[in-house]
Amino acid sequence: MSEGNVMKRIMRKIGIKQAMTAVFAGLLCISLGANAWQSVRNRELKNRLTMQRQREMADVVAAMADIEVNLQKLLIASGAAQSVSLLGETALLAQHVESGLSRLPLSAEAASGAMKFAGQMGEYVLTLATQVSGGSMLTTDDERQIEDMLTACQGLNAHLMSVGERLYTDPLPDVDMYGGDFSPWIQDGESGNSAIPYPSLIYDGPFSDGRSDAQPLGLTGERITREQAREAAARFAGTTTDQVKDGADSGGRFEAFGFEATTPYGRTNVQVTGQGGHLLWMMPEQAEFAQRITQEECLRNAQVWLADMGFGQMESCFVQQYDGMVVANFASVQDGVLLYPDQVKVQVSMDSGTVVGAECSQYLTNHTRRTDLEPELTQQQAQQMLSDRLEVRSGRLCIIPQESGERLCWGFEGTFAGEDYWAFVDAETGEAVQILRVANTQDGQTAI
Amino acid sequence: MNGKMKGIAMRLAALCVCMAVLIWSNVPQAQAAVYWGSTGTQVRQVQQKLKQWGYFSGTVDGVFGQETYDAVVRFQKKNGLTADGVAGSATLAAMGISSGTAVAASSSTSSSYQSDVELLARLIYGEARGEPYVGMVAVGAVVLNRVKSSKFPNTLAGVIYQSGAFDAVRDGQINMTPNEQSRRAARDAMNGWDPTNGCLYYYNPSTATSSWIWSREVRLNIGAHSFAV
Repeated sequence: MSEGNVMKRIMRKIGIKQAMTAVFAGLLCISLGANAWQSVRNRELKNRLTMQRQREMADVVAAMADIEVNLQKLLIASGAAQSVSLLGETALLAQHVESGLSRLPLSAEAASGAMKFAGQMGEYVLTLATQVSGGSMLTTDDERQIEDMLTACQGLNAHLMSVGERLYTDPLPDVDMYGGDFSPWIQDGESGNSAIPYPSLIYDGPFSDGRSDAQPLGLTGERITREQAREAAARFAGTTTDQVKDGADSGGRFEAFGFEATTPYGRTNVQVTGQGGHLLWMMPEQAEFAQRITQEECLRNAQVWLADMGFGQMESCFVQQYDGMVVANFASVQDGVLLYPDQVKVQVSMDSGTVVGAECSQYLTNHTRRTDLEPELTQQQAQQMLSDRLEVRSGRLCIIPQESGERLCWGFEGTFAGEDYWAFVDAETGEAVQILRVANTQDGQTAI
Repeated sequence: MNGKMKGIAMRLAALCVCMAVLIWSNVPQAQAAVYWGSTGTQVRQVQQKLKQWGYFSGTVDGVFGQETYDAVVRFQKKNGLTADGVAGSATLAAMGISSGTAVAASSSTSSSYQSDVELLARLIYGEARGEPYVGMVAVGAVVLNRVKSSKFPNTLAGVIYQSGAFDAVRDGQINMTPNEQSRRAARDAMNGWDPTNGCLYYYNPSTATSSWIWSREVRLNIGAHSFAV
């Protein structure tokens, strides 16, 4: 007997209505079962997530408590070794706090104050550790800053502990299961500001409050009008002014006029600074050019373009290649010295060899004529400061950027264990300043 | 009648299949883990983190050997995890490393630069596809400006996966495969192109409701986004 006949006989026996009722009852049971199963899974997930957050919060609170104790000990530490050990441990803990805070469900505005404090604290105590291990003791100013940090730590600890306790007693509502936000718990009322008075930390580091955005050295010249900027944009993009439409202007450190230019290689966006009419950046809307000419030709064209646009003598120091473009970093050269801080990045189409993009903010920030480029040490004397393991191929004088300011160095290219390295030795003191490994990626070179 | 019953049977079968698919689609998929013998970008990330925190003193070479194993065990013991030397989802999460299979699969080269480009491209694609190209680069630049800022985590993954920071992470769109334009935008941003001139935030003025975000100084408007500090 066929399957269809069996169904037919059953249906005839029990009637179509009863059969449909049975089917829908079955479906209802399945739905209810699936729903119950989903609820169990959701509860499990919520529990896991809450536990993870509780653990992360507990870790942050514990690390902050340890930092507080370390800072107290530091104020009465008597030996350099003891101080360095406490400072090193505090730096690690601060890093742990910074990373832990970023994993908690806090909005950027709520977490930024605490994260900035943790980041600065870690960096500052590392600076102190270097200072003390170099033979200097903590100054009165350092001790005052440590006391300020201690006060802020105590405030933050008390606050975090109350948030931690609330997490046990006041779990996040269901709607916040995946994107819950503790922000209101650590913010100050409706203002959205942090309730903790974090101290301003002044030291020699990239995040120090003492550092400010100084006036860019390369942003020279008088203020120009939009029409003058349009002419400059046409020149940079290699087109005529009637092909340059107004685009979005930008504010901030480099106030600039924005334009959209139509060029033989497509539409491109150009920003020209209001002061001096310098190129800030240029970016083609479309890329993926055909590869008809070599990388060397592209680099030669870029060098000529840079000279034509008034950037002076420049040399390429990094080259990448993607989407049919050669993307090269060019650094200024003054009296044979390579100025790494004064870099312009240039994109050249491998289809026509035309420069289609450029980025000049680093150049505009740093470019100026250096006055003292005479080294105290000879190349040979500087090379002796390097490890014998590095097989040096070449060396030249260069200026390299530092966290604060810059240094005249002898830069050496060499090889160790099959990898290429760049090593920099201070041309005045002989101190080995920096070592970079050149990583070859599928796009080209980067230094790490 | 026979035809009717066949129809009913077909519908029932279709319903069952749909329900099975619905239920199955809610089962979490397995995540990638790294362990002894693993190589690649994720191992390199693990080694970098362990080195940064003082658990690992060897070379960051992307190869999971004895030293890496010992360091992972030390990290797990210290952080209350099962000390099995396998960097699975819990250990990776504790290190702040994304263990999603999509990201792991994309890391075909051994360079952390490539995996950073891929991660940034995913975020750009999730957040700004459909925007003008400059707007896509601008989103990438905001992420990189955050990495440089003291107010945010100091790694690319830390900034991107910071809780509540980006909608594309919250709704999972970051796991979509990015297109070539997003990859190019990520590379341009990583090579220093910053159309935003140092901005740390962006928002869509037609949908943003937070009074805090409206109080930020807007430096540039591109497409649907306002970029602010």
